[in-house]
Amino acid sequence: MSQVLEQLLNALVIGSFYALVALGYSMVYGIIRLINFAHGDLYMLGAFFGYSALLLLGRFSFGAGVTGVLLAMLIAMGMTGGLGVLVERVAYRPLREAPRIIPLITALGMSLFLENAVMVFKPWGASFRVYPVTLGRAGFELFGVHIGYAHLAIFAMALCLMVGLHFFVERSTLGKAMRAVAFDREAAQLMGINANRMISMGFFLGSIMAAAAGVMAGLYYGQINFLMGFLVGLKAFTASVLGGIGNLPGAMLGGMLLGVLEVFGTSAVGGQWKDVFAFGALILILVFKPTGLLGERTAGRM
Amino acid sequence: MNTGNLRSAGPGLGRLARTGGVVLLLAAAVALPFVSSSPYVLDVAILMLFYMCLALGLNVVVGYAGLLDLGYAAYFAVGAYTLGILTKTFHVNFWLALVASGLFAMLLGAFIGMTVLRLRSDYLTMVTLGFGEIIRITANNLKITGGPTGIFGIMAPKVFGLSLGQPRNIYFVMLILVVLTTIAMARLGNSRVGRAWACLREDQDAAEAMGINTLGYKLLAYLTGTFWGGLTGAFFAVKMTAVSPNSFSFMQSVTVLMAVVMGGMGSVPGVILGGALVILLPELLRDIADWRYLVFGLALVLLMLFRPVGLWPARRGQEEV
Amino acid sequence: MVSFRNLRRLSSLLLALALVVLAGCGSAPSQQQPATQSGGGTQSESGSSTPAPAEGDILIGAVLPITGGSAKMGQDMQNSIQMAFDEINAQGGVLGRKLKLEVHDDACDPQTAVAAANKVVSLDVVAVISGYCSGAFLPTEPIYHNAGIGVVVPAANAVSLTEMAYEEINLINATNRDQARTAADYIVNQWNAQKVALIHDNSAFALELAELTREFLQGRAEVVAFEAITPGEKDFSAVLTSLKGKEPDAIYFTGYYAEGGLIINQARGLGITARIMVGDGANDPTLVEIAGAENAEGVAITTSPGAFDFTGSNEWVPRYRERYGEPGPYSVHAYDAAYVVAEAIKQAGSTDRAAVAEAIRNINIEGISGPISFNEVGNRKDGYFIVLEVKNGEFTVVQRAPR
Repeated sequence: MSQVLEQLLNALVIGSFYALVALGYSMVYGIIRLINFAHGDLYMLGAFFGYSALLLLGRFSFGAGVTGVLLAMLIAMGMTGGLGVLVERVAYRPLREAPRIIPLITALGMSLFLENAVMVFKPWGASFRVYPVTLGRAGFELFGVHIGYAHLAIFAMALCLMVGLHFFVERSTLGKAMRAVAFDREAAQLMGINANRMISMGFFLGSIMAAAAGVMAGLYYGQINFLMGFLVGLKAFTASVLGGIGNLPGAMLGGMLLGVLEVFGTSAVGGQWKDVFAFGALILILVFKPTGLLGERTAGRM
Repeated sequence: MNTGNLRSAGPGLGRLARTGGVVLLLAAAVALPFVSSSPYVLDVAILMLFYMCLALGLNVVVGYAGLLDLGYAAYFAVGAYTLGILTKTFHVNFWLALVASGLFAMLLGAFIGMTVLRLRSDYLTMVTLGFGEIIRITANNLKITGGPTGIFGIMAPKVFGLSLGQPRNIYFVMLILVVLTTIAMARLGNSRVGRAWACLREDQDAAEAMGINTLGYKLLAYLTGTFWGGLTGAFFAVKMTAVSPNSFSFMQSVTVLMAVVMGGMGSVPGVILGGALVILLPELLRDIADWRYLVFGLALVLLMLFRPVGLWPARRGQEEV
Repeated sequence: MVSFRNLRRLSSLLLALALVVLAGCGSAPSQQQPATQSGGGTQSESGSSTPAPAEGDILIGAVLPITGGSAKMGQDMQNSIQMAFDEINAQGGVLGRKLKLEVHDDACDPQTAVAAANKVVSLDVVAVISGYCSGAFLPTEPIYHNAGIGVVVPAANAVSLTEMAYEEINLINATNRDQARTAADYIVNQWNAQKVALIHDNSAFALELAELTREFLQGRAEVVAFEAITPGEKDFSAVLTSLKGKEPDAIYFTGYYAEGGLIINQARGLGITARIMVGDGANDPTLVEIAGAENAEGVAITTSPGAFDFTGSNEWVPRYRERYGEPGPYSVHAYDAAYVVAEAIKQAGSTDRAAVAEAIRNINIEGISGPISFNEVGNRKDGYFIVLEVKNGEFTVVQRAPR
């Protein structure tokens, strides 16, 4: 029994990461119907910005403490958010009216570009970078399961971010404006909403979520590299589809669900088939319930 | 509108230039192994021909039918593995194995196609990516495919007494293949089927309304493309004498897609050019080798922003983008 | 204006073809290659198209990972070989001629390796030194075999490499079989483990090592788990949690250091107290960094004897250090490989490929790594592995002799 609990804990952590990144995917898709291939790479960039920020802050006494970490995370989120907005402005906005295949290819190209830009950028480079600060293994026992403070921190952080985003999108005026643009861009514009600005905001929010996840991954696993975003991005996309694309609570649910699927799948059939599980889930959902578990939230368009 | 561009200069001149050009090109291609003694040049040329073949196959799926497939390497893999396993483990005759490779790939295409073709374009893309990865992982995990080591020691057959293990021979075989495929694809593009594809690519709902069985045509495109991928894969296995899961990664699918997109989706001369470029450019950029994928990525973005039709677009397709 | 456009397209195509020819003829041998992404390498190497001079330098080819994840290893080996050649040349060379190295990148990728092998074979090289990644080296064997070129393999050591028993292929490094035996013996004899868990990363080399270890453990300890992880992943908690339930006394991970470090870290984090051993793919100081010094304490590593572990090392290491900095784990092997080739040419008395290949197979010299000779399938006679343990963050030799 403690094994099952232990695995659930693992699933919770993995799921938190997927959920955070999935949020960004869902948000962007909801607003402009684009699967932003480069989104996983924003997660990676967040981790790297955090890495550099921590290195810099390490010079100060608070560098390794909670303040330092939070500061680094904020810096990473800010920079990645800005980058996300830039990418949208430069590469996606001009192609908004083009046939779907075009921005998809652009996103693919952008992903390649970002990954390799990090690789050739000497201070970051191709090798694995060890995070200057990591969450320890300290924790406590409960029902025979070792629960680390790290686990709790990750989960709590993710939850805070997700709830924060949810409230922002559902309750604030800006959030409402964003949803209006997602629902019907032209009508929203007729109502005086600046669609471009809302779209940029959507990208910003999605990017900061991914960046936060990236920094947390660095802190939790201790190791980052320029390819870390690729697989996570794919899985996060799966998660957002699982929950229903464009649907934020769906993205969160999807992320957790995917974490559970992967973890229990691994115990059942072994680690080498783990990714097959994730992709298999994606295919099954799209074939049998393409609108996802909680239903989609986009205006229909082929 | 734009389709009349050849007519305005007078039919004779344009046609002459094109035929002349093609003949010249063919002559150069045939002469290459005799003119250049460098095995390096030949090797690059052979790889170029392979990628041209792959691009031609993917072109049917992406260019003609408008389906963005990110898992094309899977069919390439299936073809290569089928040939490897049949000839090495089961000692099946090469020609039979060759046909089987194409058929197996097509079968897989049928299975995936039926699952995927009803989805809308973005989902189709991601699912094909998923399938591509599933195939690669499966190939990596099964005993029959040799696991991560793959199949090695594949023997090249003798065709009319000439061993396909010799680079020069496989070069000519691939050249013939490319020429035949080009003719076939060009024909296909201009046929009734091709026009139906164009119709459903430009506006699926309108096509349905006109009574075109969109699902059927999509499947046809998909099966054609996948059969071709499988066949090319089989030849690849012969050339490489070994097949392993590493050669069928997502990056491989992206490279073939790049060839199609760069050259011009739906354009036969375009994708041939694209296939040549995806091999050539890394060679020319060899000094900044680390930057290869960076440049690729940038090129894709810039291309989509400024010349989405590709370097040598199809005549008919000008109006779309 | 219209035919203009067609002509323009035509000329671009011809230009493309012309560029191929130009690129082939005009370029010097390059040591750069991309393809750091998995399997993406699709190009072949550039090389000189002018044939090697009949008299003058003797060309020796080397196909090593100069770029990509294993670049450090490849460059290390290249340095060693060059050092050896420089020494030999300074003393008059071989048969009165100087040795010249032709290095080509395999990027640890089979496709790139095959292209590089083809290239090297087409140049007038007399012998080849090649092989760090077994998976990349394997498909190149028939190419060398068909060309009758002798090959000395400094590092790659999967058992499948000598399965086809080609006369031309010779391994300097002891094979996975020896490594598995050493690991199994150590785990059973030194650690008294009765329940062992094996983890691999589903790559050719790691899987083979894990399977062989399982064979050697048969009847001596119970293999409670045989799991795979995916390289590139970070979270192994699922696998490790299910492992924990089986309560192993020892865990042997046969993959590479990036995952190895994470596994050690996460295993300890989950409260797994089993002793952990890793294979020679994880032999890298970064392992300790990633795992965390406390967690890595007491971790054992099976590896081929490295630069510091041979009797000849004391005077060799400073020489290497002076030229290139710290030696890598296979620097000595590559150095010895270079000397094997040189000696073989001397003994063959000619630069005929077949003669040299035969001489390589029949070689009997004393290298830094000990006496070198090959058995009938090309494996090193008396090859062995040693065991290191991490003590205070450093790798320390704990077992030198075989078994």
